[in-house]
Amino acid sequence: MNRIIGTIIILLLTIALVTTEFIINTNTASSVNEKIYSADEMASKNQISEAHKKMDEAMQEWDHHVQSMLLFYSHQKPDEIEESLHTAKSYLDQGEISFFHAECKLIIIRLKQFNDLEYPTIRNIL
Amino acid sequence: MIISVIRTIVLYTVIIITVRIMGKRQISELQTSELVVMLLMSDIAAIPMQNTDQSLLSGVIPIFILVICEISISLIMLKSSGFRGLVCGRPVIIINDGQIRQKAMKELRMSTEDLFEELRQKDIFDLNDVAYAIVETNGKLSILKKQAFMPVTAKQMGISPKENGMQAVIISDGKFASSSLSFCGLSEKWTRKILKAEGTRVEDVFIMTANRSGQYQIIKKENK
Repeated sequence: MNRIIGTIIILLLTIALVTTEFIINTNTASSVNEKIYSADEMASKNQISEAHKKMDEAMQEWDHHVQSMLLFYSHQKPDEIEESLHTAKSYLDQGEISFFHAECKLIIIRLKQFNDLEYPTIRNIL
Repeated sequence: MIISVIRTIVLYTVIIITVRIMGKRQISELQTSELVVMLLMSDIAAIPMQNTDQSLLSGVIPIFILVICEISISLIMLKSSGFRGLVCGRPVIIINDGQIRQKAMKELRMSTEDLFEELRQKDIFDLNDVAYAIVETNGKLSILKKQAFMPVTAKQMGISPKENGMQAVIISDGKFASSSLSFCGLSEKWTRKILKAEGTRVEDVFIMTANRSGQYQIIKKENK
């Protein structure tokens, strides 16, 4: 009986962890992605101060959730995204808009991959 | 390095808890599926222990899943013998009424050397002594000797020896083992009375064993 109770506790714990991971990952990646996309758009329209604001929001959100993400993922992927965010921000600060665009595209792709790789699709499973 | 130390302690704790949940078994008594789970668990736990870039939960969650699968399978096996046969296989008779079943041995990929090695480990040096030999699902060989080679029992001799019950350790290194005392139906008061009669104290006893009949044995601690 104790063994069954122990197994049920482990099962519930696993479901809770997997669900939390899925929700945190999906929400954070989508939200940061939207902000980066907006910052990129604004920079294209020469609205640099708004782009700065969006970029700061994106970085704040990422910093806020990255610790919980590191609980679930290989540290390499979040570290790569964080590095790209800082690089993009420094390009924006220096007024290197074309480099900023390129770095934003890279962040968007990395976030998309980060998000996509967690979906239980046949491709990901295999 | 401190991270590796902490991770190792966490994973060690997880492994101990999960192994306790899976139940007590000797490695040699494990079923094939249990052995596979044990090997997988040790392998999975080793990755986040060594590689600090890997998240800790990526090691813990697969271990949890393996335990859940293993317990679920064992519960289903309790209810369904067909499923048990599918997962664990079935015992195979390789010596039937003194005759070796060569086909069964071939199916098990068991050589005559393997068979004789197993027999020798069971103190059987002559094949003619064996009536039945069965390869159990965990790979162990069970033997039933022919009646002519079985040791004589008290029943066959017409003797009725007194049942004394099992000896249990009731004092270990100067401390009472309360579970053993209750198992033997004895009390601390009875034990102290015995020790007083023997001229010793609980603290001076290294081991004291007793059975339900009240027969006991005392080994005192060596003088330092």
